[in-house]
Amino acid sequence: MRQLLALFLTAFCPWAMGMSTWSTDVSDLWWNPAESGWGVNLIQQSDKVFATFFLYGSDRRARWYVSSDMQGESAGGSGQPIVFRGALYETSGPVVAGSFDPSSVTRRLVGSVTFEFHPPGDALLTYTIDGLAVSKSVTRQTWALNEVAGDYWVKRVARSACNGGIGMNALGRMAVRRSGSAVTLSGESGTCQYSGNYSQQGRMGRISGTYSCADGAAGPFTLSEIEVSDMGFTARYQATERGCSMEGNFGGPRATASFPPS
Amino acid sequence: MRTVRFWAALGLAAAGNAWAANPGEPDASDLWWNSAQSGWGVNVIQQSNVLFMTFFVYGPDARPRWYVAPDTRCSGAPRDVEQVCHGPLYEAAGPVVSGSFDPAAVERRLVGDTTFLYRRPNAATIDFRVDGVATSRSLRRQTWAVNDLSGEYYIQRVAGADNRPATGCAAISTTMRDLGRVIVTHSGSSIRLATEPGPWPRCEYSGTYAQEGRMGQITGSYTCTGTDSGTSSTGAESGTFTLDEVEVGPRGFMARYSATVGNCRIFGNFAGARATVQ
Repeated sequence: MRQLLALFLTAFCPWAMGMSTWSTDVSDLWWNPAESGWGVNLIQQSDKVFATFFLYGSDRRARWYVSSDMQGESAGGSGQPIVFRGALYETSGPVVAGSFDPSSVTRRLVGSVTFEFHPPGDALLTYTIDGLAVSKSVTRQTWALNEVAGDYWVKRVARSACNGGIGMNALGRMAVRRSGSAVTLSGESGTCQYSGNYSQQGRMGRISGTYSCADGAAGPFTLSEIEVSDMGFTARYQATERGCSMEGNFGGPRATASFPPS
Repeated sequence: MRTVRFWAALGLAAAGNAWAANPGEPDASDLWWNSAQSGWGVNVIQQSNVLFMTFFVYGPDARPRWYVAPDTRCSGAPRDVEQVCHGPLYEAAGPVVSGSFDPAAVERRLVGDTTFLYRRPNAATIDFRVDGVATSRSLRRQTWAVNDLSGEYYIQRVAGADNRPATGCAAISTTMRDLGRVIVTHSGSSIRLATEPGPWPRCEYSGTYAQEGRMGQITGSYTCTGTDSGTSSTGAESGTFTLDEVEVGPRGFMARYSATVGNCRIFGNFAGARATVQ
């Protein structure tokens, strides 16, 4: 009898940090839209993923499996996938009602799992359970669209593929407005205007469209990996500027502050 | 039991990809557990004001069993009071997931309901009923690896004073302070955020880093020089500060900001794009 979650995390040392903000965050609910009814939940911290599989046993009963210490093997970049790999366990234990004795939880090693993510949206999930090997394409599941509208103080950091230089542009107080899926991002006078369409995969938003700036730059752009909260937003930035591909980051704080209750 | 396309029927159809009623909901997404009851937990993924919750627990036969609440709706309460999220709870049955998987063979059964009371940033209470058996537990976000915040970011801070009568402070309008290019040095629990020399006033925040689940927290003290202008804050300042709900990724840095300046508390947002391109 072993304490499940605590002992699963044998590799965990509270202050053993992974690499800096290791990769695009894979935390989300992942599924195969053609196979509605099962899924896998991933939560990433640093270079470690805790995966929970929601499957069925041969008796058709709902059965979960866990890989609580999936280690990052590749952080992606340069066309490479983001890869995590770990051992897969089945557990048994008492009903969670009244008192729950963690010492009565047992675990059994049933196989292994590999998650290979090709940003922005698609992943390959490969796992074995008691010798049965399964390989599935999965994607982030979306059930509600995050609201991006608001006012933000935005800066844009971008590297030019033409000369490799990285520049920063302060876009000032930017008004982000949405009507249906149409979104406009209007910077202060003398900066830039963006307009495009919003879509979302799981927690990550995306806006694709065109932009123009007061300095004459104009062209197509994409903001992807958009994460928005009541503190601000961040996104991956891609655009074409004067014939050069630009790649970088885009974001800043909300221009309005909220106060906690007195 | 009815045969339905389970995940789609309960998940996607739940909100129909509707837009949020309130922009910028507090984010409860994480793995939640009770550290005194290691062995079971609840996965929460939030989009807009809808939680998709999966419970990994056990049946009377001690076998692992999961339940799902794919349409748990959070109230539109003010963002700084407890969020009440409520929805139906289902059990599913289906075929083994192997080469082919027929979603039409998945069945669902309504077993009860669940209420997730979220107190931002890191505390919650879960109430759920399964076939008439009610359970209530306190939960926290689970932590297994500490994020490294080291890097360089273009940070802007938006903050104002809470001037409600109970605070006894004068009104300070919400302003933006451009902290310029900020170098974050993070080692163990020690962290320092310092403005790189440049055409902006210099600020330095030093403190202690802690993390629960995905959310970081930094507490410490800070000083800023004056000479801001325009829409930015002006004047030198110093005091104690807290950055809550710190989330850092390859694209940038976001946090909730509070500080004590003199006898007054100021609140706001602290965020910016990463200065390096990965």
